[in-house]
Amino acid sequence: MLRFARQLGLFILIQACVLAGLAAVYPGRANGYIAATLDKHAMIAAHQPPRLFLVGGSNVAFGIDSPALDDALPYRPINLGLHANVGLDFLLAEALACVERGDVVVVSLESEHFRMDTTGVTLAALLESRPRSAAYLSVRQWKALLDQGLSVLRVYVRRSLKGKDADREREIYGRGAFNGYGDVVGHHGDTPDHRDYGFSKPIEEVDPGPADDAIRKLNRFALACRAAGVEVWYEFPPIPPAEYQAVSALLKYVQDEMTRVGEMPVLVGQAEAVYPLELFFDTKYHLSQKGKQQRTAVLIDRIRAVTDLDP
Amino acid sequence: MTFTTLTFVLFLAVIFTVYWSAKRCEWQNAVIALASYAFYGWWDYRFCALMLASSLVDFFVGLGLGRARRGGSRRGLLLVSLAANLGMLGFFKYFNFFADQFEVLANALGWRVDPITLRVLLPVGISFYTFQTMSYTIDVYRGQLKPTGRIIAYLAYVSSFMQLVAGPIERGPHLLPQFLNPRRFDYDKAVDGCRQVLWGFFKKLVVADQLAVVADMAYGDVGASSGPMLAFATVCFAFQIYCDFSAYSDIAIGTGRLFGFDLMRNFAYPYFSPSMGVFWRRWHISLSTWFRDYVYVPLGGSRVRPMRHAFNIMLTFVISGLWHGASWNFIVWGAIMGAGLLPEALGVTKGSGQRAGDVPAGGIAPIVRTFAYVCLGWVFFRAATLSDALLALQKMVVEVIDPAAWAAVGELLDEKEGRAAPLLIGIILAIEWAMRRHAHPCSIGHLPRWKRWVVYSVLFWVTIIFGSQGQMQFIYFRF
Repeated sequence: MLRFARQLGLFILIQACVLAGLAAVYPGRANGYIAATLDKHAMIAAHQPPRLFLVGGSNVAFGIDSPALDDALPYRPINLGLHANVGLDFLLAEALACVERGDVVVVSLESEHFRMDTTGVTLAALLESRPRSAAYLSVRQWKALLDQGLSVLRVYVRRSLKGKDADREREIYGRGAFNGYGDVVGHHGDTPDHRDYGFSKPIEEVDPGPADDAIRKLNRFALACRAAGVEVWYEFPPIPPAEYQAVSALLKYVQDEMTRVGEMPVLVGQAEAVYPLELFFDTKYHLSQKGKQQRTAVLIDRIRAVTDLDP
Repeated sequence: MTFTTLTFVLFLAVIFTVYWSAKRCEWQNAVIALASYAFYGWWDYRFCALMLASSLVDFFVGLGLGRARRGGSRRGLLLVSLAANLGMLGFFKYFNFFADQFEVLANALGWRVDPITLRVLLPVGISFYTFQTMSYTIDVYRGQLKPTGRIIAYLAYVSSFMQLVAGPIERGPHLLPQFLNPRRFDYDKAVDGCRQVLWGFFKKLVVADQLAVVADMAYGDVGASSGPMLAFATVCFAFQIYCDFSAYSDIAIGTGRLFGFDLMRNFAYPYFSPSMGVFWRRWHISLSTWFRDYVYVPLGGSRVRPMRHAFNIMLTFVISGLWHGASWNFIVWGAIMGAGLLPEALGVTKGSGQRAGDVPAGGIAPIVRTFAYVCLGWVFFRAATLSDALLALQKMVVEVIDPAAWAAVGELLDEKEGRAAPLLIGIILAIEWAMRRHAHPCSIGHLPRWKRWVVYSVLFWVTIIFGSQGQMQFIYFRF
């Protein structure tokens, strides 16, 4: 046994040395897309209530025109959106930790959150940029991250091998692509090199398990916010017609359930959130500048209506 | 918990240390049992209750069979075990299928029935552990195995995390005595186990998951895929499922060896088989022998008239198809596999007694022919529905001379995944052919140490760098 332990230990040590060599050339993520979380948290600290928190994945990052919201509403917008793969538990826990009495929140989730746990390696990248965000992870997410440990290691090794070129190819997906509200603006007026809408497979039968689980979490979040003096609404994110055709059964189920329970009022329903394909930039959730202006105009109208603000 | 995750690597390190720190066999069994329930509960803790129930039923039925003398009470006890295990399997695995079929039939007859909305979640690996625990009872009933009164050893035998979820499906007479007797650490066995585990990781993460991209692309939308593209995807799927499933077995067997167990071999280079008979002696060996011993032989096997023999083969394979999944696709797949055995079984063609390392007398042609026939079955296995499978086959035949249809394959080969697929298949074939006389392709204990360590390091880093980005489950977890 001792001989085995010695040999195995030596082998692991050799591989650890290789890994240490790779770590020495690791380019870091200081300018990466996910590092924008640092700027978003700095923004939260810099502004007092009343603020408008926009919570969701990249549909929120790419799809909101915060300066227009700032002009039209008496709230300072803070766009928390980054990536759906940080997972629903993280998104909600992060928002809950940031809000204060007098703030309002609009949650807008990609349909994937109602189908599965979306926690992915992106969350590891986020923790690398801002280790303090580990406080927002649920037990389930820690478990998911541990399960994906080899994928995380793979990403790190590949980035080390690429070195300084790791982030060069996709500058739109860089920290510099965000404005002072947390919106992605780097793609304005740009034509994407590559479009991959990634339309979902048609959902014929809704699996109520993950959908109910997500709705329960949203309701708990709404109750906690309301207890803290914070109003919360839900907005279905815009999607192209082909995506709507594929996932409409699920979206209808989610809207019906949310309306039935009534903890989180729906500002923009799923059927209203179908936009022409030409208003999307490179994926089914990323709006172009024109698309985000259209979405924001609708959002302004709806928030005014529910808060009795004058037009 | 899935084998090819960091969680499992850490879990293995902890359990290995605790296990060998325990000096007594009983404590080692307790470590295995507890670890196995934790391993299984990692997916969903509710599944553990089901496994425990199945284990306890067969443990006590086994004890009852040991005491019962009268044929009637012995048969009754056997029936209790079969009803419990098959009932559980039937409910969790086949309820949805039969409910849907009932609804279709009723509608066809003009009866109005409400859709049956109860949707049952399939517990991972249920087909594997129910077969393992059921075979224990049958062996005790037949007098081929003495029932054990050591419950911890029995629970560890049924639940052992090494082969719990996707086999090899172990049999009482082979594995149970290993749990009942003291185990000693064997350096050579443990080192070879590590090699096999490493090889399994490589096969699953680098080969199977990459080939899955091509297979999923074509079979994800059969209507939009061309015939040649579907044929290419079928070959990719053939190697995907082989590398996926045999990787699981490699990791299971390798892990078992680390803990001092010898699990049965599950694959023996099946794609080098010159006939379907040989293929089924080399593919999923633990399941084929299970069906041989508990279904085919009790039906009469080959000691009956030719037509009855053919019926026995077909019925065994159709049941085996249904074991894989509750859908018509698997039933048709089973029938195709059974039909492939008929010419040899009925004496129309000559059987081959070829061993794993031999080159067939007819050269490479019989191997290619067998592989093509196996691929015909894989079309049904992979397609989402029966109509998709038939459409795929139709396209493969009709579009074979259409140059435009071939263009899609050309385009795919220009992309990264498409280019990688033939390369990966070639690598696997070359390595397996070179190592076909060994128990597994990473049996390199005879090489000098520095060469072995170079191989280990290359495998390790290739798996890390080129492994799949996502986390794909093993295909056989569905079964």
